[in-house]
Amino acid sequence: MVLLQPDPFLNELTSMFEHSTEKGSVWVTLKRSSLKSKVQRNKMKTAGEPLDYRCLIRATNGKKTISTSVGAKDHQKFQASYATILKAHMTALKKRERKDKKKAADATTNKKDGESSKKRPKKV
Amino acid sequence: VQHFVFSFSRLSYSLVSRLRFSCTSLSLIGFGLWRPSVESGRLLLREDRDGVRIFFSLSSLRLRSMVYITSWDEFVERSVQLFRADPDSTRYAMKYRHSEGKLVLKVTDNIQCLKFKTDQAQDAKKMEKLNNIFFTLMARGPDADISDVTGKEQMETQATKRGRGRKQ
Repeated sequence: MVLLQPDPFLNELTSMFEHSTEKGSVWVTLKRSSLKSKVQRNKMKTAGEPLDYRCLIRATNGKKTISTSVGAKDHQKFQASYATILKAHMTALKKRERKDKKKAADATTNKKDGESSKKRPKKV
Repeated sequence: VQHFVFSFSRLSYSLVSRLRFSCTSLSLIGFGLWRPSVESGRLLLREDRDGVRIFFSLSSLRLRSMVYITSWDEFVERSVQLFRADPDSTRYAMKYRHSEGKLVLKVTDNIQCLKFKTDQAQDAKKMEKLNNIFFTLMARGPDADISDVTGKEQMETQATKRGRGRKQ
């Protein structure tokens, strides 16, 4: 398990997506954590210190796991870059049929269009 | 029909086994929520540092949702509820398979599990908003205000507007 800084993590995540287009999956997990062990947490609790929670992000392609953590201050920037990466790589999902935008009269023609557009190779 | 999880915290270990059936069964019957049957539910004991928490899961009432949720808004609402109820053990996982063009989202606190699967590009956009919601909740805390994430509230108003447009 490799713990990285947010920016190298994003670079590694990009390469994971790029390498798993033909086969394989990419898992990304988000969890809240204070990154401290239970003993440390109990000690801090009894000492009255406020616990500093961070958002832990882990990504794996089944073989390699990378992780990073973001705090309250840098999570906005991270989530923007993260969203860009996802948008750029999740291209295999089906596009929406445009049937709700045409009139009812064109419904049948639309359905045929929708089906054939699925069979057509997707534009990049 | 909801999945009922009752939790009683801080009972000593000796009390736990004695109270097991009497406490939970009585309270549930009293509420008129449960007619006891052999396969009604199961009792889960989960320890955290403050003591023992008892969760009585009424699996019979949970038959409707076999983990996968069909409505996106329901998935979002229940995941946020789940997170706010137990922020330390709830995690949000996403799996993307390009070869199959499938996206699966999972939110679990190791007791309940909510999943959402899709192959639609529009759901990826909705997921982005959910990601923002979770980033904010997890980094800032479960009480963080997420209405300004242009997530939940704006999404709801947009959905209704689209609906009205369609009918016209």
